Amino acid sequence: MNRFNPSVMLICAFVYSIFISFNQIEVLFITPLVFLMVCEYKRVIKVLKKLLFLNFFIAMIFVVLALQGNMEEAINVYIRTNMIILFNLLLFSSTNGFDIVRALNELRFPRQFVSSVYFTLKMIQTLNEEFKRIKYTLKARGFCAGTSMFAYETYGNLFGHIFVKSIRKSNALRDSFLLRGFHGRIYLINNNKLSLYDMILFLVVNLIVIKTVV
Amino acid sequence: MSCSINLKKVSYANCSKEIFSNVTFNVGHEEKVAIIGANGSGKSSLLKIIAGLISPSEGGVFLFHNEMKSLKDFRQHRSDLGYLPQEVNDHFLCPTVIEDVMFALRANGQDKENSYNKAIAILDQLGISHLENRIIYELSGGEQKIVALAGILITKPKILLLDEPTNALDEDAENRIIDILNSIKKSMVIVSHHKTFIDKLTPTMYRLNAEGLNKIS
Repeated sequence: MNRFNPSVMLICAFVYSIFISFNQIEVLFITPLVFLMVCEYKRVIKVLKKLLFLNFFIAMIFVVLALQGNMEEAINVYIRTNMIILFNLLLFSSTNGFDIVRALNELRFPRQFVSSVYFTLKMIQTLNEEFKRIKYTLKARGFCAGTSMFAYETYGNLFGHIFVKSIRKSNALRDSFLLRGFHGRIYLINNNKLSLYDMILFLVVNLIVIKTVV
Repeated sequence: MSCSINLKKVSYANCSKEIFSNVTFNVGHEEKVAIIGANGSGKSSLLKIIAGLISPSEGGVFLFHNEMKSLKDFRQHRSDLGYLPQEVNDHFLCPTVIEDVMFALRANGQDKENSYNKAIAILDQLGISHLENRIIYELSGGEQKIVALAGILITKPKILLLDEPTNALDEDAENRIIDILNSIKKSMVIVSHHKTFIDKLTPTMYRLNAEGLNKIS
């Protein structure tokens, strides 16, 4: 169960990311991160591990910028990117993707857009499961990753398999639309209420907005 | 006995390979019919033809004595047909159990409260009301089948088309499905290769092979 309301999460993530990106970083900008870390103290280590993994990619940008002689900008980008990713990870890592759909629905995004996001997430989840299954099969059948022609052929076959599977899944989904009377809209029950945590998060994030604007 | 489904000399070919031919059979009002057959004999394709998802290469399909000349003709009978696919995961269109079960009603323009109450009633009837707010993809295979069945039954279809309803289920889940299906008084076409499961549901059984459909009991 999430501590935060999906709509509040989405708005805060958007506002925080925008303000961190386009403003001079101040100590105040760390407050939402601290608040989220306190709220999600049980998962902080897990989130930091994820952030560490993602830092391999952020480091690439840092290195490229540093090599171009923009050391100050490199550090600036590095810190901002890490703050944005950490904030989003702390907010969203415990949610299932469907919370985002729920938030979009609550925030009155166009119906077709909400449905498209939902079915995209559903397809990603299905293909992810399929990929996991293939990985287990490869293990069970003694496949060793390597650089031989056979290994590359196997990888090619696997991508082909996933591609065919995704087409089949799309067709099955189309059948389901037809059979169940889908008219471009999914119907969600919005019974998420605002909690004290939501209000504090909203306030803390908006403090940054107020401080920056005023 | 009035007929819900009539198939007249139906044939089906996939990529120019004939899967079955000359299938003729009738399903009466509230009659339960089972179709068994070897893998690849076209059982699921036959069910899809009846559901109006694919066209036969030859022959006629009649629903309530109306000929379905093209897939468009099935539109007016959509709400009369309840189709449970073999891969039950393909059936779901919403994230939680309650949302998915009430989907068909809401899509037909019924209001939220009414749809919700009906969904709760059907979940209660099938003994899965405790799953109401669960995410569907986190449920077991047996639970997913029952949720899918609830999503179908809520629209009160006159015909149920069930493709391998007990596929990959344990004995308890299978017995639960049998109890549910036995309690439903509707025309039913059940495709399965579990003969013991079929025996507990209906005495009317057909075997599908390349030459057609033969009544075996």
